[in-house]
Amino acid sequence: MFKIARLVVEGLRGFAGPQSFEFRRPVTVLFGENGTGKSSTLNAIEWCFFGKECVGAGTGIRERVGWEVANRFRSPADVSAEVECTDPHGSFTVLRSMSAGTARRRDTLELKERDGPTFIGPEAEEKLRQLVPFQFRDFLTTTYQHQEAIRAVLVQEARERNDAIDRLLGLSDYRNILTGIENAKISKAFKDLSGEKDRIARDIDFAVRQRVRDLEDAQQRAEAAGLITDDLSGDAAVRLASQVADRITAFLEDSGLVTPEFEAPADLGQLAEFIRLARRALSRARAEIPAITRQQELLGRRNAVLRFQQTLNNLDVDRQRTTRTVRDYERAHRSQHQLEASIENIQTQESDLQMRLRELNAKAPLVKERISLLESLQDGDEKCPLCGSSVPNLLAQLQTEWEDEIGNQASGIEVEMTAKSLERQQLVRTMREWSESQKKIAELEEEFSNFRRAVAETLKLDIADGENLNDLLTRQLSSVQNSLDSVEQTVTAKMRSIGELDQLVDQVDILREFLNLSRRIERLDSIRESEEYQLLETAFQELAEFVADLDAIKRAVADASRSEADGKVTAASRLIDEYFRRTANHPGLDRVALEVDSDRRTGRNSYTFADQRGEDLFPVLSQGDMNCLALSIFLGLSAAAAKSSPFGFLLLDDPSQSLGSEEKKFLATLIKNVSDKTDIIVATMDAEFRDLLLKEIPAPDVTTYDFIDWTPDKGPVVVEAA
Amino acid sequence: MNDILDLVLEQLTGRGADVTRQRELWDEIFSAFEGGGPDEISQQLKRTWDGKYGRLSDVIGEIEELM
Repeated sequence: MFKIARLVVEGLRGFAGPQSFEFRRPVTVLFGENGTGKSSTLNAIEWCFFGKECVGAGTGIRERVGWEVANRFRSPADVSAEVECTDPHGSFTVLRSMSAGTARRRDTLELKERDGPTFIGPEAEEKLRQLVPFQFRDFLTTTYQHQEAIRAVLVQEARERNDAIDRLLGLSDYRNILTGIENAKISKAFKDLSGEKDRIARDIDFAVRQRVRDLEDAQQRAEAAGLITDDLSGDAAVRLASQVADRITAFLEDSGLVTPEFEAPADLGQLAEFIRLARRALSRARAEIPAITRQQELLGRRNAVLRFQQTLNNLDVDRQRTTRTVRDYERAHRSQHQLEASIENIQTQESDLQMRLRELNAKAPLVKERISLLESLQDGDEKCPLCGSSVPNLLAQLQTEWEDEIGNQASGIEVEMTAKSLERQQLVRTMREWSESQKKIAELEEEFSNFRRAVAETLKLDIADGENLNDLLTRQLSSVQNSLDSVEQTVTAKMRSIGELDQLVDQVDILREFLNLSRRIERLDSIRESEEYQLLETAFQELAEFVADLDAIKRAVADASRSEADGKVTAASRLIDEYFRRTANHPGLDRVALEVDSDRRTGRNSYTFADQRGEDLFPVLSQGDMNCLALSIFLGLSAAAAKSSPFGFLLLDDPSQSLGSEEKKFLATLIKNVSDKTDIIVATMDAEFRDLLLKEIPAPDVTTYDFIDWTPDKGPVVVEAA
Repeated sequence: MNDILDLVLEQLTGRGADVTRQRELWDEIFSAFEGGGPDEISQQLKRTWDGKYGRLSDVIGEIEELM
């Protein structure tokens, strides 16, 4: 257990230039107004020991989030804290420094043993962990009475409180070991593995049931395929396959096909390959047996003849129709020459009519002119200029008669011309169609000639000139049909044989499937006796033992922790009870008991505080009472656990908070009593409490530092009081 | 620290189980703790588990093939 003899701090939080403190007496009081650097003094000690561990969210202290180590008002912002520790077995000095002004912050640690070597950097950190084998959180709850630590003990949830009290009792190692074991999550992994093992067992059962159903189906198919129960064996399958092989070979030879390399299977393992080859051979037989290929050939010839007959029929119909049309024209017009002459004759008649019409049209104006002349000569007399007789309306009559005659003649000529034109057009159309028909007859002759050649080539026939194609095709069709009839019997017999062989191959295949399923069921049935399954059981058992051992160790660690906690709580219980009753002086409380038990779920230590009736204490306590209780627990447990802590000092930060005068008086007495066992450094802004401490503790046992006149650039003025 | 080692062993011994095997495992856990704290315990236990489970995993694969 070591104590702090001296601290030199520079640039840390409220401090500017270097400031020294001596802690040579049992109690040191740091007194000053709020914000003058008292807490920074305590922070310097913890930072020197724990460095970055005491900064940030990882500390579990809310106010340490965003906490600045360096004094932000000072430049350069270098920080250092040097703590000299004394120990009966040897002293050492720890110097931690931080260059905060550079772009990349650099932390260094130096540890010097008195009359021994100096360690720097990682070696110094390693040496410090050996000398101070505590984590920061343990330091916080066992050594540094800090308001956050008090809250952890009193008002946090039960798990946090139990954790904090474990640390107060120096039982963190147990708790950390349990945490390490739990974080490995071996129990969960084993639970998952057990599920996996159960799944495998279920899968085996399911697979067996499924295969049995498949086997029943296969047996039904075998029976439907004509197999009997005696056939459902490996020997029977091989025998049947051999028979099938012989029959297929004989059939192929008999059909004139080359026998493939095709052997009967020697055992069950060759059945699948045998079935594949047998099916391929039968498929080949279907395509290659001569009778079948002959039948295919004849069917093709028959289809060709039928197609030719149809084409010939179409050609004949066309030829007859066109020839008939030409004959009709000949009957009507005798010859195309005659038709041309008729057309020319009509054209001549049309020309004559046009001439007559032109003459008539030329004559009409002359008659009109003469009538007009007569009108001018008459003088209103109605006498004829030729005969001299008197005729009423003579001129009007002459005019009407002329107009009627010319008009009638012109109309007659026009009607006649129209008729001639229509007649001519009809004859011209007839001439054109006649020519087209003659052209078509020539084309059909060409087509027929080509068709004749196609028939000869396709059917491989010599066709004599003038031979009737229709008769020829009819004879061919009859001949092909006769050949087909004769080959059909042979083909039917071959196809029937192939079908029978197919069925036999199917039987072999059904047998093979049945036997495979039987073997799989046998194998599944014997899985649990297999070497693999035995290995599974052995390996699983080994893991189960591992998990059981781990559980046993967890229980042993928890029990050892509880046993040790029990002893320490028993030792501290009296002190806590006494400290609390003396500081709080609560009229309703005759006794405060701290009890330890095991958490039912986690097995870890669980702590309860009860009054004299065994009831939960917290609901009846005021804020001041809570603070007294926290201080009592902290001081009582610290006093009781002093022997197991590496620290021979306690740090109390503002411990009189929320306490009345009477309570402060008792707290001062308490601190004096505890200081018999361990050094105490108290930071307070409470003058009344400071006076009570100085009154209670003899002057040689206490040092007081007054913190005054703090400024941002110079920090506090620290004066050791007389 | 050695107190914990002995106290836990004492607890284990009192249970009448396979103390030799548990003692070996406890030594393994405690060594890991001394070497690297809780995290090292977790890692060490996971390694031990994986070492044992690896064999089991292979066997499970073989059995599934048999099915």
